[in-house]
Amino acid sequence: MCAPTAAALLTPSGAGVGVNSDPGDCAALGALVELALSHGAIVIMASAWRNEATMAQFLAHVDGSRLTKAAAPVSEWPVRCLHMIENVIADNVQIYVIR
Amino acid sequence: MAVPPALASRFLMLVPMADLVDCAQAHGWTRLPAAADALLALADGMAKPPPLWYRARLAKAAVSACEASGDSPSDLCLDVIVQSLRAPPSDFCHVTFEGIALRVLDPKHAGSVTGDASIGLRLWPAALVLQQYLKANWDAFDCGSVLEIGAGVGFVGLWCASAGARTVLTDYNDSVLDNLARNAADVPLATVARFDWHAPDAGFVADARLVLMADCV
Repeated sequence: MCAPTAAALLTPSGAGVGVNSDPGDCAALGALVELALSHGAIVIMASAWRNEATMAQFLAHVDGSRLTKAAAPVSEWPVRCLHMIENVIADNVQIYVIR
Repeated sequence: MAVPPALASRFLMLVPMADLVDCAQAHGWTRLPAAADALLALADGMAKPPPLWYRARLAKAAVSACEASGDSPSDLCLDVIVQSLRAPPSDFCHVTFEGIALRVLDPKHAGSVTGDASIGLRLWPAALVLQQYLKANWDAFDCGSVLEIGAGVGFVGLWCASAGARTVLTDYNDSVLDNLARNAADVPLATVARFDWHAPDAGFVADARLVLMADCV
Protein backbone atom coordinates (compact mmCIF):
# COMPACT_ATOMS: atom_id res chain seq x y z
CA MET A 1 0.00 0.00 0.00
CA CYS A 2 2.95 2.33 0.57
CA ALA A 3 5.41 3.43 -2.07
CA PRO A 4 8.28 3.96 -1.96
CA THR A 5 8.68 1.64 0.98
CA ALA A 6 11.57 0.80 3.24
CA ALA A 7 11.42 -2.61 1.64
CA ALA A 8 12.33 -0.95 -1.62
CA LEU A 9 15.40 0.55 0.03
CA LEU A 10 16.41 -2.50 1.96
CA THR A 11 18.70 -4.88 0.26
CA PRO A 12 17.43 -8.34 1.02
CA SER A 13 20.71 -10.09 1.55
CA GLY A 14 24.22 -9.33 2.66
CA ALA A 15 26.04 -6.28 1.42
CA GLY A 16 23.69 -3.58 0.31
CA VAL A 17 22.85 0.06 0.65
CA GLY A 18 21.96 1.23 4.13
CA VAL A 19 20.76 4.55 5.50
CA ASN A 20 24.36 5.60 5.91
CA SER A 21 26.25 3.66 3.35
CA ASP A 22 29.03 6.25 3.39
CA PRO A 23 31.96 4.51 5.10
CA GLY A 24 33.22 7.88 6.31
CA ASP A 25 29.94 8.55 8.09
CA CYS A 26 30.00 5.15 9.72
CA ALA A 27 33.59 5.57 10.81
CA ALA A 28 32.72 8.96 12.31
CA LEU A 29 29.78 7.41 14.09
CA GLY A 30 32.02 4.68 15.48
CA ALA A 31 34.42 7.30 16.82
CA LEU A 32 31.49 9.14 18.32
CA VAL A 33 30.33 6.02 20.10
CA GLU A 34 33.79 5.45 21.48
CA LEU A 35 33.83 9.04 22.75
CA ALA A 36 30.48 8.52 24.49
CA LEU A 37 31.74 5.31 26.07
CA SER A 38 34.82 7.10 27.33
CA HIS A 39 32.49 9.46 29.20
CA GLY A 40 30.74 6.51 30.80
CA ALA A 41 27.64 6.50 28.64
CA ILE A 42 25.86 3.40 27.41
CA VAL A 43 25.00 3.25 23.73
CA ILE A 44 21.99 1.38 22.42
CA MET A 45 21.77 0.89 18.71
CA ALA A 46 18.94 -0.54 16.63
CA SER A 47 19.57 -1.38 13.05
CA ALA A 48 17.58 -2.97 10.29
CA TRP A 49 20.43 -2.83 7.86
CA ARG A 50 22.70 -5.66 6.91
CA ASN A 51 25.41 -3.77 5.17
CA GLU A 52 28.50 -5.61 6.27
CA ALA A 53 30.90 -3.10 4.73
CA THR A 54 29.58 -0.08 6.59
CA MET A 55 29.08 -2.08 9.75
CA ALA A 56 32.75 -3.05 9.54
CA GLN A 57 33.70 0.62 9.26
CA PHE A 58 31.64 1.34 12.32
CA LEU A 59 32.98 -1.56 14.34
CA ALA A 60 36.56 -0.69 13.44
CA HIS A 61 36.20 2.18 15.91
CA VAL A 62 34.34 0.26 18.59
CA ASP A 63 35.76 -2.42 20.83
CA GLY A 64 33.72 -5.44 19.80
CA SER A 65 33.94 -6.96 23.27
CA ARG A 66 31.81 -4.07 24.54
CA LEU A 67 29.00 -4.85 22.15
CA THR A 68 26.16 -7.16 23.16
CA LYS A 69 23.34 -8.26 20.95
CA ALA A 70 20.04 -7.97 22.77
CA ALA A 71 16.74 -9.59 22.01
CA ALA A 72 14.68 -7.22 19.91
CA PRO A 73 11.16 -7.09 21.28
CA VAL A 74 8.41 -7.52 18.75
CA SER A 75 5.07 -6.78 20.27
CA GLU A 76 1.84 -6.85 18.39
CA TRP A 77 1.46 -3.20 17.59
CA PRO A 78 4.83 -2.40 16.07
CA VAL A 79 4.35 -5.21 13.61
CA ARG A 80 0.94 -3.88 12.77
CA CYS A 81 2.32 -0.39 12.40
CA LEU A 82 5.21 -1.56 10.30
CA HIS A 83 2.84 -3.15 7.88
CA MET A 84 0.92 0.09 7.79
CA ILE A 85 3.80 2.49 7.44
CA GLU A 86 6.58 0.84 5.58
CA ASN A 87 5.46 -2.68 4.98
CA VAL A 88 8.61 -4.03 6.55
CA ILE A 89 8.75 -6.85 9.01
CA ALA A 90 10.40 -6.16 12.33
CA ASP A 91 12.61 -9.21 12.42
CA ASN A 92 15.13 -7.35 10.29
CA VAL A 93 15.90 -5.21 13.31
CA GLN A 94 18.67 -6.02 15.75
CA ILE A 95 19.37 -4.28 19.04
CA TYR A 96 22.95 -3.82 20.21
CA VAL A 97 23.98 -2.55 23.64
CA ILE A 98 27.48 -1.10 23.80
CA ARG A 99 28.96 -0.37 27.22
CA MET B 1 -23.68 6.27 18.60
CA ALA B 2 -20.78 5.79 21.03
CA VAL B 3 -17.61 4.40 19.54
CA PRO B 4 -15.99 1.59 21.58
CA PRO B 5 -12.58 2.79 22.87
CA ALA B 6 -10.74 -0.15 21.34
CA LEU B 7 -12.20 0.66 17.95
CA ALA B 8 -11.42 4.36 18.27
CA SER B 9 -7.81 3.67 19.26
CA ARG B 10 -7.32 1.43 16.25
CA PHE B 11 -8.84 4.10 14.06
CA LEU B 12 -6.30 6.59 15.42
CA MET B 13 -3.42 4.17 14.85
CA LEU B 14 -4.35 3.83 11.20
CA VAL B 15 -4.40 0.07 11.28
CA PRO B 16 -5.02 -1.74 8.00
CA MET B 17 -8.60 -1.26 6.94
CA ALA B 18 -9.40 -4.96 7.10
CA ASP B 19 -8.27 -5.05 10.74
CA LEU B 20 -10.40 -2.04 11.53
CA VAL B 21 -13.42 -3.77 10.03
CA ASP B 22 -12.61 -6.94 11.99
CA CYS B 23 -12.39 -4.91 15.18
CA ALA B 24 -15.71 -3.22 14.48
CA GLN B 25 -17.36 -6.59 13.96
CA ALA B 26 -15.72 -7.99 17.10
CA HIS B 27 -17.42 -5.20 19.03
CA GLY B 28 -20.77 -6.10 17.61
CA TRP B 29 -20.82 -3.47 14.90
CA THR B 30 -21.89 -5.89 12.24
CA ARG B 31 -22.83 -3.12 9.85
CA LEU B 32 -19.72 -1.40 8.57
CA PRO B 33 -21.59 1.69 7.30
CA ALA B 34 -22.81 2.46 10.82
CA ALA B 35 -19.34 1.97 12.29
CA ALA B 36 -17.79 4.11 9.56
CA ASP B 37 -20.26 6.92 10.15
CA ALA B 38 -19.55 6.90 13.87
CA LEU B 39 -15.78 6.91 13.36
CA LEU B 40 -15.93 9.66 10.76
CA ALA B 41 -18.12 11.74 13.06
CA LEU B 42 -15.60 11.11 15.83
CA ALA B 43 -12.79 12.34 13.56
CA ASP B 44 -14.61 15.63 13.03
CA GLY B 45 -14.15 16.43 16.69
CA MET B 46 -10.50 15.45 16.94
CA ALA B 47 -7.71 18.00 17.20
CA LYS B 48 -5.55 15.76 15.04
CA PRO B 49 -7.86 13.44 13.15
CA PRO B 50 -6.52 10.61 11.04
CA PRO B 51 -5.44 11.93 7.64
CA LEU B 52 -8.07 12.46 5.01
CA TRP B 53 -6.78 9.67 2.80
CA TYR B 54 -7.32 7.18 5.64
CA ARG B 55 -10.80 8.48 6.44
CA ALA B 56 -11.61 8.31 2.74
CA ARG B 57 -10.56 4.67 2.64
CA LEU B 58 -12.94 3.95 5.50
CA ALA B 59 -15.70 5.84 3.71
CA LYS B 60 -15.05 3.94 0.49
CA ALA B 61 -15.22 0.63 2.36
CA ALA B 62 -18.56 1.69 3.83
CA VAL B 63 -19.87 2.71 0.42
CA SER B 64 -18.81 -0.64 -1.02
CA ALA B 65 -20.65 -2.41 1.80
CA CYS B 66 -23.75 -0.34 1.03
CA GLU B 67 -23.56 -1.20 -2.65
CA ALA B 68 -23.30 -4.90 -1.81
CA SER B 69 -26.32 -4.77 0.47
CA GLY B 70 -28.43 -2.41 -1.61
CA ASP B 71 -28.38 0.32 1.05
CA SER B 72 -27.75 3.97 0.34
CA PRO B 73 -24.41 5.32 1.53
CA SER B 74 -24.54 8.09 4.11
CA ASP B 75 -23.99 11.71 3.22
CA LEU B 76 -21.07 11.76 5.65
CA CYS B 77 -19.22 9.00 3.81
CA LEU B 78 -19.88 10.58 0.45
CA ASP B 79 -18.73 13.97 1.73
CA VAL B 80 -15.42 12.54 2.99
CA ILE B 81 -14.79 10.86 -0.35
CA VAL B 82 -15.51 14.08 -2.22
CA GLN B 83 -13.16 15.98 0.12
CA SER B 84 -10.39 13.48 -0.56
CA LEU B 85 -10.85 13.79 -4.30
CA ARG B 86 -10.63 17.59 -4.13
CA ALA B 87 -7.74 17.82 -1.68
CA PRO B 88 -4.25 18.37 -3.05
CA PRO B 89 -1.77 15.64 -2.16
CA SER B 90 -0.12 16.27 1.19
CA ASP B 91 3.46 15.29 1.80
CA PHE B 92 2.91 14.82 5.51
CA CYS B 93 0.51 13.10 7.82
CA HIS B 94 0.14 12.97 11.59
CA VAL B 95 0.33 9.73 13.48
CA THR B 96 0.42 8.87 17.17
CA PHE B 97 2.27 5.90 18.61
CA GLU B 98 2.73 5.16 22.30
CA GLY B 99 1.29 8.58 23.05
CA ILE B 100 3.85 10.37 20.87
CA ALA B 101 2.33 12.57 18.17
CA LEU B 102 4.48 12.73 15.08
CA ARG B 103 4.44 14.57 11.79
CA VAL B 104 5.91 12.16 9.27
CA LEU B 105 6.28 11.97 5.54
CA ASP B 106 3.11 10.43 4.20
CA PRO B 107 4.13 7.19 2.48
CA LYS B 108 1.35 7.68 -0.05
CA HIS B 109 2.75 10.99 -1.22
CA ALA B 110 6.42 10.64 -0.38
CA GLY B 111 7.58 10.87 -3.96
CA SER B 112 7.85 14.66 -3.91
CA VAL B 113 10.45 14.61 -1.11
CA THR B 114 13.66 12.88 -2.02
CA GLY B 115 17.27 12.64 -0.92
CA ASP B 116 18.55 12.65 2.64
CA ALA B 117 15.51 14.52 3.91
CA SER B 118 13.15 11.80 2.78
CA ILE B 119 15.04 9.35 4.99
CA GLY B 120 14.92 11.52 8.08
CA LEU B 121 11.27 12.39 7.64
CA ARG B 122 10.01 8.82 7.76
CA LEU B 123 9.28 6.56 10.66
CA TRP B 124 11.50 3.50 10.36
CA PRO B 125 11.13 0.01 11.80
CA ALA B 126 14.27 0.22 13.93
CA ALA B 127 12.87 3.22 15.81
CA LEU B 128 9.72 1.32 16.69
CA VAL B 129 11.67 -1.69 17.89
CA LEU B 130 14.18 0.43 19.83
CA GLN B 131 11.35 2.20 21.63
CA GLN B 132 9.81 -1.13 22.54
CA TYR B 133 13.17 -2.34 23.82
CA LEU B 134 13.60 0.79 25.95
CA LYS B 135 10.08 0.50 27.28
CA ALA B 136 10.75 -3.06 28.37
CA ASN B 137 14.17 -2.28 29.87
CA TRP B 138 13.77 1.31 31.05
CA ASP B 139 14.81 0.57 34.63
CA ALA B 140 17.94 -1.28 33.52
CA PHE B 141 19.67 1.87 32.32
CA ASP B 142 20.57 5.28 33.70
CA CYS B 143 18.12 7.27 31.63
CA GLY B 144 18.58 10.62 33.32
CA SER B 145 20.03 12.27 30.23
CA VAL B 146 19.64 10.88 26.76
CA LEU B 147 21.25 11.81 23.47
CA GLU B 148 19.63 10.52 20.31
CA ILE B 149 21.77 10.56 17.21
CA GLY B 150 20.05 10.64 13.84
CA ALA B 151 16.70 11.22 15.53
CA GLY B 152 14.74 11.73 12.30
CA VAL B 153 11.09 12.30 13.20
CA GLY B 154 12.04 11.86 16.86
CA PHE B 155 9.89 8.95 17.96
CA VAL B 156 12.47 7.27 20.21
CA GLY B 157 13.83 10.43 21.83
CA LEU B 158 10.41 11.95 22.34
CA TRP B 159 9.22 8.78 24.00
CA CYS B 160 12.26 8.95 26.35
CA ALA B 161 11.47 12.58 27.15
CA SER B 162 7.86 11.73 27.83
CA ALA B 163 9.11 8.99 30.17
CA GLY B 164 11.03 11.58 32.19
CA ALA B 165 14.48 11.69 30.60
CA ARG B 166 16.13 14.97 29.69
CA THR B 167 16.65 14.25 26.02
CA VAL B 168 18.60 15.93 23.25
CA LEU B 169 17.38 14.86 19.83
CA THR B 170 19.88 15.50 17.08
CA ASP B 171 20.05 15.29 13.32
CA TYR B 172 21.80 17.18 10.56
CA ASN B 173 19.55 17.97 7.62
CA ASP B 174 17.71 21.32 7.84
CA SER B 175 14.29 20.06 6.83
CA VAL B 176 14.63 17.09 9.16
CA LEU B 177 15.56 19.40 12.04
CA ASP B 178 12.62 21.66 11.24
CA ASN B 179 10.21 18.75 11.35
CA LEU B 180 11.88 17.38 14.46
CA ALA B 181 11.43 20.72 16.21
CA ARG B 182 7.73 20.68 15.34
CA ASN B 183 7.32 17.22 16.78
CA ALA B 184 9.24 18.14 19.94
CA ALA B 185 7.49 21.46 20.48
CA ASP B 186 5.07 20.18 23.12
CA VAL B 187 7.46 17.84 24.93
CA PRO B 188 9.03 19.76 27.84
CA LEU B 189 12.12 17.62 28.42
CA ALA B 190 13.05 17.38 24.75
CA THR B 191 15.45 19.69 22.97
CA VAL B 192 16.51 19.59 19.34
CA ALA B 193 19.98 20.33 18.03
CA ARG B 194 22.08 19.99 14.93
CA PHE B 195 24.80 17.40 15.35
CA ASP B 196 27.62 16.73 12.94
CA TRP B 197 29.10 13.28 13.34
CA HIS B 198 32.36 14.49 11.87
CA ALA B 199 32.61 17.47 14.26
CA PRO B 200 30.49 16.47 17.23
CA ASP B 201 29.61 18.86 20.03
CA ALA B 202 31.58 17.28 22.85
CA GLY B 203 29.22 18.80 25.41
CA PHE B 204 26.26 16.77 24.17
CA VAL B 205 28.29 13.60 24.30
CA ALA B 206 29.80 14.27 27.73
CA ASP B 207 26.40 15.00 29.26
CA ALA B 208 24.65 11.91 27.95
CA ARG B 209 24.27 8.84 30.12
CA LEU B 210 22.46 6.99 27.37
CA VAL B 211 23.14 7.41 23.65
CA LEU B 212 20.55 6.06 21.23
CA MET B 213 20.79 5.33 17.53
CA ALA B 214 18.15 3.80 15.31
CA ASP B 215 18.98 2.95 11.73
CA CYS B 216 22.16 5.02 11.74
CA VAL B 217 24.32 2.16 10.45
